[in-house]
Amino acid sequence: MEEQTRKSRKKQNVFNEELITLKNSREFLSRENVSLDECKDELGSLQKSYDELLDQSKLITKVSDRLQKKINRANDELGEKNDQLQESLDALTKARVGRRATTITLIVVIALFLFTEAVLEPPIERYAVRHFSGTFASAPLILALLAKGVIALSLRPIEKIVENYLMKKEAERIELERSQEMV
Amino acid sequence: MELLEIEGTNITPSIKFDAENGVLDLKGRSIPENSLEFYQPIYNWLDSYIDSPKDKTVVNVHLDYFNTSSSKCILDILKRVDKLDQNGKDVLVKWYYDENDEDMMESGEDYMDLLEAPFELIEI
Repeated sequence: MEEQTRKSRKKQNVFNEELITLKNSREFLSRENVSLDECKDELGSLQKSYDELLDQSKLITKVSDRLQKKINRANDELGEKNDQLQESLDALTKARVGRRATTITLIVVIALFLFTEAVLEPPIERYAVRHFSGTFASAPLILALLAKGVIALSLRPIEKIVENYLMKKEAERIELERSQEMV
Repeated sequence: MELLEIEGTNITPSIKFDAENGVLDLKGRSIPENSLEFYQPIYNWLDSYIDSPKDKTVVNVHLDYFNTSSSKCILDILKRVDKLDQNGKDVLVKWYYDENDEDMMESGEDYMDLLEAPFELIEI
């Protein structure tokens, strides 16, 4: 049934009338004993049809060229929009990754701070008391502050490292998704 | 003659051919997969109309977009209408195009060149 519909659609051609003219002309050519007048009539009719076909060809060519131009323009616009979209997506991904990196960095810094307070400070204090208590009274405090300063200064590098790592992971994820879509 | 009315879709134009008033409207987008399938009933209607036309026939064409096979079908419609003009009837083709749609205006000019009937290009 579907095949029949396809065939019938194939038969339906916008050039049906022109095909009929061609068929009639072929039939005329295959005839024998044709008079000169009949030949003239047939040639006249064929010339009229040819004129019309030429007009149609000119029109269709112009329309087709314009459509191609339109498609090219639409493609260019689509390309520009695609670039803009990609830029927005990149910015969005960067912002999302940046937020995640900040959160992770904060957690790491809090953990480091707690670690310093609970684990590092007591031995530092003991060390300072043992070695500097006679000469430099505020040495324990300065050493503790120094340790916290190091943590504070490492905040930005840690964030950068985490951000780079997350961006790399995100790029890998996008690449994987693209390759899966292509498959 | 019966009114020929076909509702427009995303790929076919709306058709309203009113034999009583001699007004033929063609509006929308024409990109059917099989143009002849869509336009054949219109040809048939026009062939009947040409047999007993009104003294004055106005054809309003307002298309946004059409594919190449439709361009041939539109020409076939307008050629039929042109026959009325050649038979001494009053015919007017009005080709509407949207402002800034230079392509559609140029297409109108191309059709105008191929027809003998009066042809108006109207920017809207």
